[in-house]
Amino acid sequence: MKILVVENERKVGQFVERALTEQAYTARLVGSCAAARDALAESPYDAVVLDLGLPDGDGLDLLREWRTSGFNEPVLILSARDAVQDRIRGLNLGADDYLPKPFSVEELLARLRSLLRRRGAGARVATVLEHRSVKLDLLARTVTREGERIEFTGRELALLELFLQNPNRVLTRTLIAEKVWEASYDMETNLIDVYVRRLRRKLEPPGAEPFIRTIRGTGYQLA
Amino acid sequence: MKHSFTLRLTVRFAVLVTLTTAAVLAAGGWLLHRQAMASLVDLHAIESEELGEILEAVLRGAGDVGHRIKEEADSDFALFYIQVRDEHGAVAFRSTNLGATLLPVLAGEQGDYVVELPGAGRVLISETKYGVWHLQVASRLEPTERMLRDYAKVSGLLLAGAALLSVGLGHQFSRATLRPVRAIEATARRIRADNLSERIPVAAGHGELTALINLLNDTFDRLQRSFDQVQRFTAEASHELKTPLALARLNAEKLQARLAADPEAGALASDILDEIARLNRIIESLLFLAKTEGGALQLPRRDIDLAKLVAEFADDAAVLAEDGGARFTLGRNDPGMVRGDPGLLRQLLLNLLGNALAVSGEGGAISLESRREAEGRELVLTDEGPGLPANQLERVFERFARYEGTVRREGGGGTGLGLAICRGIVELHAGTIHAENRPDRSGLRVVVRLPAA
Repeated sequence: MKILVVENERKVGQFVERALTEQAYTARLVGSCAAARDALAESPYDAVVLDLGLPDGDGLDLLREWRTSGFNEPVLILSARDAVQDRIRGLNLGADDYLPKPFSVEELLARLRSLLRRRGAGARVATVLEHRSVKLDLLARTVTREGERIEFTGRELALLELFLQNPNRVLTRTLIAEKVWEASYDMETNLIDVYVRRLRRKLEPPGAEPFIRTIRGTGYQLA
Repeated sequence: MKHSFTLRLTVRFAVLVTLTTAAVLAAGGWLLHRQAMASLVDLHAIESEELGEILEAVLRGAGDVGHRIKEEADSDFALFYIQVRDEHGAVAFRSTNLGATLLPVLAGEQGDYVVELPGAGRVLISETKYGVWHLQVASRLEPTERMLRDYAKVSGLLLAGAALLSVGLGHQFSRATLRPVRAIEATARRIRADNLSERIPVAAGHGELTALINLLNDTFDRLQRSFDQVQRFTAEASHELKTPLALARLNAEKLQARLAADPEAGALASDILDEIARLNRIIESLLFLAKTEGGALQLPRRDIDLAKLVAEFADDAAVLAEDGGARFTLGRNDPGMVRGDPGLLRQLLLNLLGNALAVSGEGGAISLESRREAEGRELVLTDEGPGLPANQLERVFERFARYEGTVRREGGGGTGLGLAICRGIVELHAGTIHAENRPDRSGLRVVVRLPAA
């Protein structure tokens, strides 16, 4: 998998490049619109990580250019600009995902993986999600632990579904807010933490090992 | 009230036209009257001259006054009253049409005067002296007066017509006058955040209005400049602040992973991550406020089912309140729509709830009501906290306002911008927000009013 990283800030770019290389991707870092055009003209890439504030132009113009010229691989926007407005514009122009700075490398990798997978396999629809002894039936909207039924509210169910669908992935607060509350920004409350605590209370019997791990400063992950 | 200017202009025009017409008609009437009197006086003069010749002939001894006049001027009696007196004032001749009436002597010598004669109405008498004779030639003024009355009647009708017509014309006139102003208004209305570059066109024939248009366009220029400045500033500030923050976060995360074996150092790395997150929130909030205050925020607006949004929020609020040891209840939740951004409205409610939770004691009740009012929608969040001193009620919505005694329970600490953000969001939705102490007990009520969709 070859990934093009278009990032003006060299240090941030290098960080991303290194993280991608560690994950066995082939990454190439460029720092301007011109270099990005050249790189894409030279060889095909499977995905692009695109910063918007480039020295010789706007990343959104680059995106528009690519999309009109038939470049269809996933593009993930990485931007330090205003989240809400740029996000809407970016997605309208054909970006596949949007990650505001400051971001977590874990989250960037997870989102990239999901973009690449979405393209590759097509959606495999599971109706029952499982983790350890917990089973979530997506059709019946029921949860059981060791065969025993547990009552869940709508939001709790949505949150659990998100965890079960991403078993190996750190879920950041931003991502959880986005997927469960459809909020495109930090909600500035401990709402997510409170809901995670409720999940834990229901799914972790006293004395049992944790069902959800806290990754401090970042988010949560299934244990 | 919107059309009161048109109305005023119409009335003014109509009054002006009517008064002018009235003045012209009155002047016409006066001239007509003068003209009629002058021609009567002229006729009297001619008649007097003719009769004077007869009288002088009589003086030279040519017969009797009465006979001579009857012979010479009989046909004139149809037109004039004629009376001749001698030097003693005795009547020497009276035309038959006078009957028993005597023409009164007023001037004595010569002159024209108007008197009221019984049976004949007002008459104009011209008196001339020929030797010993006082000759009086008189005419009834009735025909002249009738003509003037007719003139007045016609004038009245003309005036009424003119008044009616001028109201109609005045309305057209004022509309035509205001048309360029309306065009200016329509353009000015269209100029909003999303098309700030539009300007009011300066058309030929606008004359004096051109100055106003230029002034307005200059104002729009300034508005656009400051708007662009806010946009540029927030974009640049965002980039400049967040890039180092991104790097700091990436490094801290890496550090945290490496320090997994050393809990104490790992905790420090985690603290750094928490503070980076907080700093990021503050930056986001400040940029958001800068944009709302600069009028530079454009969000896609849509119709939102407020009752649904409130009900969904209530579920989360109950969970948050329970976690904070308080109780949340949703009171009235009237159906209704508002226009705006659902994410921002949810953020507004979450911020208000966060504040209420921060001041609520164990088991404190927090309630939310969403009411349909005549003016729009009203959201009221009530808590049982200590309330606020009167001088703080307005200030809490300012940036970094912190009231002493507020116990912040949030893990990372608040940004001090929560209520300022609330006000920003409410103003983006063309609404109002204010806080008041509860009258029944200690506690705060925050009232948000939003216009109905």
